[in-house]
Amino acid sequence: MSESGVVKFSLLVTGNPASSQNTASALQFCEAVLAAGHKICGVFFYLDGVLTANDLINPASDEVNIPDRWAALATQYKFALEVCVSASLRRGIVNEREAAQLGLQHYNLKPPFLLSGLGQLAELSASCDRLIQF
Amino acid sequence: MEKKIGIINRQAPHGSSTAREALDLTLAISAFNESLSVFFIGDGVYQLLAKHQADLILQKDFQPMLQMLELYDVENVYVCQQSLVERNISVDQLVIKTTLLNTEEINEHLQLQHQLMSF
Amino acid sequence: MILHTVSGSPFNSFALKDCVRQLGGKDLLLLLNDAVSAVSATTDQHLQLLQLDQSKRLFVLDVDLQARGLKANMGQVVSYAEFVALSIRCQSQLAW
Repeated sequence: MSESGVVKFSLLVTGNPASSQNTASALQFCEAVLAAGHKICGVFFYLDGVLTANDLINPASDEVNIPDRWAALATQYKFALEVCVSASLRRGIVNEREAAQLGLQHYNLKPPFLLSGLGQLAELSASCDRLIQF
Repeated sequence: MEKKIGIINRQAPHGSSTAREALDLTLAISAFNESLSVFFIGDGVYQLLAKHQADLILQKDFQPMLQMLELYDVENVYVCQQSLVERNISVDQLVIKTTLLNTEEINEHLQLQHQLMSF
Repeated sequence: MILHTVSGSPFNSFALKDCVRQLGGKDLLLLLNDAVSAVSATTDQHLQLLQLDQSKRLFVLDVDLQARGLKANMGQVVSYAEFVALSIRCQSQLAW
């Protein structure tokens, strides 16, 4: 940890945003980390967590749009939302480039989420002081 | 100094994709980190029970990938002894070479890790 | 020292049971999401939870209790800010 007392966090998020509280908990934890003056190195979405990056998610107007909240927070505080590419393709989350390569007619990756390899998780793990999983 | 990472496998195979995707993650991380320890506890020990025929239920047989752990120099593979006993599984029924630990010993090993990932 | 976090309800998941069995002598336990019911109900792990509470190692997330209309009969009720502090106090976190 740095002498300034600033702690660098990386998060691993694995829950389905539509059917579990998991992703919302991770978001609230992330907000608390930032409010305390600490730093988020990045958030890695794996397993059903990758569904958070689906741009077609469209909850009813009286429900909280968790993916929108992630996108806004990451943009404001300039940290990366990394989405595992293999877990994503398995679950139908595709960016423009992958869609072109695979001959798919559509893509749906929500900006600013990024498709990344698991190497990126290794990177986030190496660069942080604390890895917290949800 | 490289961080010690512990990966804990707690889920039965095939009923959900968690076990298979956790193994994908473990093999990928092993390319970047040589201080990995892998733990199989609870239903996770079913992942190691030999002679899976996952194709019968339209699932991927990932047991051959378990052999890759050794190939990728992941040498610290630990299995919970109590979890095996509770499930009537003996060590010679497991597909890979592992170290048996009781819950206290598993805890001692977990305490040595800088980071934990649990599936 | 490990911060163990449990999310699943003690009445339909083995997460709390498995976690308590694996808990080290100095480790901390934080209950969140559906697992918070463990501090208002009487679970199979009740005695172990009481012992943890006596050694000030049992925590429960405030908003998860409030969201469910539950009150804690044991454990220290903490905010997300305190969750962050607990995760800094411990070397690692283990999510059950």
